[in-house]
Amino acid sequence: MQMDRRRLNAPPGGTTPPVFAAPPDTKLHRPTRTRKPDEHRKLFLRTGIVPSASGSAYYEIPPQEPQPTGLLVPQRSSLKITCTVHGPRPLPRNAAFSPNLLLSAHVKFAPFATQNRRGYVRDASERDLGAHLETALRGVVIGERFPKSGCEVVLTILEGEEDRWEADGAEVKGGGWGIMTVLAGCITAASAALVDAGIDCVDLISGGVAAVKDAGRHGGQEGRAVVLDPAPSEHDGEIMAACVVGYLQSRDEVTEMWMKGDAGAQVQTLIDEAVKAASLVRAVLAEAVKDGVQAKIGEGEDDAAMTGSAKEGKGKSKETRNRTDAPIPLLAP
Amino acid sequence: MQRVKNVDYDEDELYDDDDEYGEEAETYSQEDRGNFAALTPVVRAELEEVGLQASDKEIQDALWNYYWDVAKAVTYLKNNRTPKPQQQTLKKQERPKSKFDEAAERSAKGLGESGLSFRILSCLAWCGRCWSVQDEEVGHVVKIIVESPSDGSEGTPCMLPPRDWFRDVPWTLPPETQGHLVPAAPVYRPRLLGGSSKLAKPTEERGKKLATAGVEESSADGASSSLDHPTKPKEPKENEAPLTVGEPRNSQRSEKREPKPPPSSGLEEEKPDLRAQPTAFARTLSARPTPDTLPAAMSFLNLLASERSEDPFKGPSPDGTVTKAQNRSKGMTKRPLANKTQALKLDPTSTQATQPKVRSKGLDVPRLWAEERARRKPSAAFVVIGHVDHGKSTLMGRLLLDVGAVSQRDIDKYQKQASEMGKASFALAWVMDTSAEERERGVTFDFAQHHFSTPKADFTILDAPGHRDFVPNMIGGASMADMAVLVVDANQLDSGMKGQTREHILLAKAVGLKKVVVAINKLDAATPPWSQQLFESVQTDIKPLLATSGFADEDIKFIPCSGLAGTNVVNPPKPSSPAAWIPKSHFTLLQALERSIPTPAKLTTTAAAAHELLKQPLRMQIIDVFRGSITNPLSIAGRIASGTVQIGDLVMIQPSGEKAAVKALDVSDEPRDYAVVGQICTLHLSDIEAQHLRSGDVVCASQHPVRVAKSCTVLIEVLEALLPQPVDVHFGRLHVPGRISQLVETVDGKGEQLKRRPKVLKAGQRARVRVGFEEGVPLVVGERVVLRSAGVTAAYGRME
Repeated sequence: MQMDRRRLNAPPGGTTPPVFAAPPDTKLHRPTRTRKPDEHRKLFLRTGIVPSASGSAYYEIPPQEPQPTGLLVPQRSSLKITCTVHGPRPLPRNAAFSPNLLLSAHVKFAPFATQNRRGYVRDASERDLGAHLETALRGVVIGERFPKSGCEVVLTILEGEEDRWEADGAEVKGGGWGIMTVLAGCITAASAALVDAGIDCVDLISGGVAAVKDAGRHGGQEGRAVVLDPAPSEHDGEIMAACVVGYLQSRDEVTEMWMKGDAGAQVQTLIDEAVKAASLVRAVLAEAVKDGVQAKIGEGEDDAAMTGSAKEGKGKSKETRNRTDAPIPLLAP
Repeated sequence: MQRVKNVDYDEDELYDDDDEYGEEAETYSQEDRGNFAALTPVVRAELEEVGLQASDKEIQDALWNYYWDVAKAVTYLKNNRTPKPQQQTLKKQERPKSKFDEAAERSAKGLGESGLSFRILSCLAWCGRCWSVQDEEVGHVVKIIVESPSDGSEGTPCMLPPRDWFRDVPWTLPPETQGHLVPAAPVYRPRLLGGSSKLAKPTEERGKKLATAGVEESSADGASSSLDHPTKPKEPKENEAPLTVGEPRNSQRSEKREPKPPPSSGLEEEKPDLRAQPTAFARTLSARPTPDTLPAAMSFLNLLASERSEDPFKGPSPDGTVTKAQNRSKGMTKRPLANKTQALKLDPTSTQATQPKVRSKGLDVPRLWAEERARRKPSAAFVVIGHVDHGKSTLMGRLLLDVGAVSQRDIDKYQKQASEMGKASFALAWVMDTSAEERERGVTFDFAQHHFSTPKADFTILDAPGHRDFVPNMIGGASMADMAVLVVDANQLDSGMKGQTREHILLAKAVGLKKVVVAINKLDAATPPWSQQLFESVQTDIKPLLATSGFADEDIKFIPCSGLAGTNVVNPPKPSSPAAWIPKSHFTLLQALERSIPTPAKLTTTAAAAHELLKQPLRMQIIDVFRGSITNPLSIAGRIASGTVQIGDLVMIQPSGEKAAVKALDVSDEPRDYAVVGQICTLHLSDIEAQHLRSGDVVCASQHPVRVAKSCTVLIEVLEALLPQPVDVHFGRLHVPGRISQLVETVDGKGEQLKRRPKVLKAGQRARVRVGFEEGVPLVVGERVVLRSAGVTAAYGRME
């Protein structure tokens, strides 16, 4: 077993998340989903936050509602992901020849990212996320243009999506749905960082999640329904299946799909909803990338000059622009 | 909807089988031929009954295909003869109307040239001789030919390209109706899949065709069936159902989707909404403060509680201030007149950089040199040349021993070591041959330097290797010398005349040596010892050789001597010895050397020229690069060809073009402040990497760098017949492979043109040739050049 010998390690059996005492007169309310089933949470994305990396991005789903007063522990998790891209850079001398860009993706939860603390060494679920992310990105990066080079995509999850409501306590097992939202965020953040690093891509890739929830379990009448962008803490064990896709909108292509749970007959719908979520996210992604490019060009110039130089300035930014412009006529009814 | 990449195979693979099949069919066995002969007339008779004609070949083919079944062959041929459309409609009506047929019909009628393509899925299972679908990719036209199994196929083996098998196969829940036919959704074709250049062109062409086809369709048959869906590559998007009713697979799903709002419009509405304001954490992280509406972002600088100055490097650095103050206090401002060194300092930044380390004394070198030369003994460097094993190194060892430059103790030590190795006679040579290998083999490889002084003069010995293989080193050594000492073994004159004695004389002339002292060596070993006749016969043999090479009579001195015994080297022989005849008419070697020095008196004729040379910019060829000592990790040695150099000078090394500062300077192993033209000196450099220095490079004043060129014109004296050919070009120590690219002209003694563009140059001619090099070579006009080819000196001359 891989073990970090440089630090004082946590007990191998894992830790029990802390339970904070609430003021006596507080009543805890389970967070509920207030947005429509096909509504995505708002998110924040910005590129170029790590100056020393070739490309970087920060992705965040901030809390959509204000925190109820008197409580220290946030009732809803807010996803926070940083992504750095190092490359394209030459392979080490002893590496075998590679005609393509060698892409590697590492996903790591910060030890404090979730209520159950994570170890310093990547565990199985993190490696799994890395593999999924790598699959997603491999389909979008034009590897042939960077022979004999490597590129590392490193994602650090500063705050993860909780699998369950904090007040439920440890006895309620989350279904592991939070990791799906995390993967979708990772895909989007990595895409932005790749563009920031100037690595040629065929398109922007955005991640989207959808879930099948069975409201009937808690006495609802609707039965099974598909929701976009589920926040597991809001769905009290209702989620039956979830699906993440890495979606290239302007090519209408899915490079990565991960489905979990039993969707029953709604598999197709679930995928379509996930794709829809991805295309919603893509709008933000495109904006963020555009902002990043404009920030690089410099804010002093006027708009017209900005557009012009953006087109000449970098091959990548040109491509990005085309891609971002492309879907708009297509979406017209 | 397709979000799955197509699995493509090379088309070539598909035809492989075909080829093999055809080849097999060509070779019928004996039995088959018999069958053909028997059955062909039968079939023909049957056909003629209906009134049809068929060639033998057709009949045979049919028989072969139906495995000698006459009835089937006849039917096939009949069908083949009858006009096709009727036949097909007939066939269709016979068959029960399956879904497939309906669709096929519709496609045939309504679709026309539209881009919808149909695929047979279940073909996999029973594709023996059922329906064959030919999918002609060009223009997306799908031709469907339906034939009954009994009729057989129309010569097309039922082969779907493998990539079509899986096209549009849903991965889950295939609709029940989908046993046979799946209509293809119009596929968005990426213009360039993954950036592969191979695919780019065909894809582009296909795209163009599609576009034109699409335009035509939309204009031509706008009022066609429901199936008619223009298939522009980008048209259908996302969640829209690409095909409308009647398509078995999509029907349920598209109905389901009907009530939903069109996703596109929803997306457009939501687009601005989805962007969230960053949390405080995010703002801190991204450190790009957003407009004032937000609470002020905390930056890292705030965290560190440090103030930001606009330009931290604007003012002078602390070190700079200190240096400035020091300079002022030491009175560096009142530097003497505009001297040469200051003029040399072209590059102010690098001088400034080196200034703290090496400070130029700013000497007026020409004036100092003029003063000093008056006080100094004359000095000269001489190169010792001659055939291998004629005793050059031993003679020089003896010379050094007898003048006291080497102590007897050292010689005794060498003697002991040499006798241990069984080479007692080489002990003296070991003074010059310092490397282990030279000592072991008893052959000089590279030239060695040694300084000594007599009461009358200072000398530098350059001991050149005599062996044929080391002629390049000999040229390097000779180019530094002022005169030559030719050592000739009196007993082995012939070997020398054939060998390197001749070549060395030529080379000595070639590198511009004027005076030569011929030391006729090993006379003590002659029979009888110290025979005057032998000495004179050798003299008469050598003299014409020197004369033909161009040495004037008065510049040649003959000295009889013995290096090993030390007779007549420094000390004249005793009157009692058999060599008593020598002192009457000959000098000792040392006396001869002292007399051969170009004296100041003689220099007066060329004094002006010498002064000019002094004024010229520095040129020095690097003879050796070595580690002088710990304090001087990088040193170079060489003879200054022109100009002067002093401590603190900034010099440039060509061809690398790197600059270096002269940290210290040695002449004749003594530290000096400056060195002038003609002196052999050692420069200790700083501010340069050893990799930029190679022996053969030229050190020059940084202000007037030497030109680095890849070709030059050379005026040569031809010694061997020359064609435009590859040659080794020697410039002093530097020897590079080059090529005579052009024979420009032959000239006479005065430099007048005799013939333009000669085909060949013969020995003895003077000519101007153009020499090219593979790499840039630092070239000094007027430098002496030796061209060698195949191990012999072919020509020598001067650069122009």
